[in-house]
Amino acid sequence: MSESSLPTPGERFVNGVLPENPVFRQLLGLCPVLAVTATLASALTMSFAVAVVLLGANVVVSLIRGWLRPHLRIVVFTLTIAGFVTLVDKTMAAFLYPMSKELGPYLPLIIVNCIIICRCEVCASKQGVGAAAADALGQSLGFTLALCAIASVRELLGAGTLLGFQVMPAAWPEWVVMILPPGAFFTFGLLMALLSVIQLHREHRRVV
Amino acid sequence: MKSLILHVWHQSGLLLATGFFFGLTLGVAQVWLEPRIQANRLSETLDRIPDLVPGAVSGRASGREFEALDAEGLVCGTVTRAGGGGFGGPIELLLGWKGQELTGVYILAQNETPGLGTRITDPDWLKSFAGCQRGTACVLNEDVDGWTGATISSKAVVDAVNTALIPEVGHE
Repeated sequence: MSESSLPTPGERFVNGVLPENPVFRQLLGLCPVLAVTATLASALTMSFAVAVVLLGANVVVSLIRGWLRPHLRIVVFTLTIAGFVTLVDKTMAAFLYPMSKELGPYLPLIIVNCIIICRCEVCASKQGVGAAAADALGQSLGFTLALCAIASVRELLGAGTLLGFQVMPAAWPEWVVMILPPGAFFTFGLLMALLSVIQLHREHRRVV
Repeated sequence: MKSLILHVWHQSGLLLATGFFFGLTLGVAQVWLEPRIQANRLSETLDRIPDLVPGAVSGRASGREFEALDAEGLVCGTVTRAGGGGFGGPIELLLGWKGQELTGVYILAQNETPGLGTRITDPDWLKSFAGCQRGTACVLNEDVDGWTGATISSKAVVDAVNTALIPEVGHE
């Protein structure tokens, strides 16, 4: 496929946010989506870490794409991603120590987050730096939106707070199940259903 | 031979180059960031000392232990580390001592189930350990209540404390 037939940087960015949202449309990288969305603060930090790694990996892979050997490309992607993840992990432990402790093993686990290797394969190894960077930013924004949507619902219903501030009335019976792993699956499933209903509704209106 | 070397370079040159580049970058980052990470860990421990030993206002590292200092700068107790295996991984604790008496417990690191096992970090529950004496084991559900839904996590903390209370025997 020639580079001209691939999406432009602008299209890459827009696609990543909603039409090809990594969480709700591609169902990729669900481990952090389910594991770190008990509070909005940890979801935001995780999104930021993923954005830095995705941008770094996409730009580097795009720069070296001319020298990639097809059978060794996955090894090079993994090496690049692991390098950036370790840098982010160490930097967080040095400058954002409490959050680094809260996210625990999920920071190093970004290495195996398939969103990043998928974007290296789909976009960065085939297109220029501009498109790769726009793709990384769009996908990161989509990932952040998805994580924040799930985390807001879970923190609000499970602890009655948002970013640690009390939002629900004091009489709110905290739904502990929402902070537990099942709460992540409930919220994720219901939000997916809601998005599908909205999409069906819009398609129906377009036909009518 | 020359063609073999060229072939290997042609195939794996990029891998070697990226490996070298990231190895160098991570080495530099490690040298630059590690002292700061160690300082963060130490300051977290030192910040806890006033809560662990009554009368202490600050602390300092002393070998593998920490000394609690009162307002006049005199040693008024010690803080030691302890550890055990919880439900989700290792649990690290800080224990405050005044002579032979345990004065406070703090969970430095844990990876327990959110909402259930994480109740072991509840400050009021940890206060119930205060008053245990060295040489006498602390009994779960007698001296200290266990958490419903977090039996393994509660037991892990009690076992870790007992290992420190009776160093020769260890926990049962």
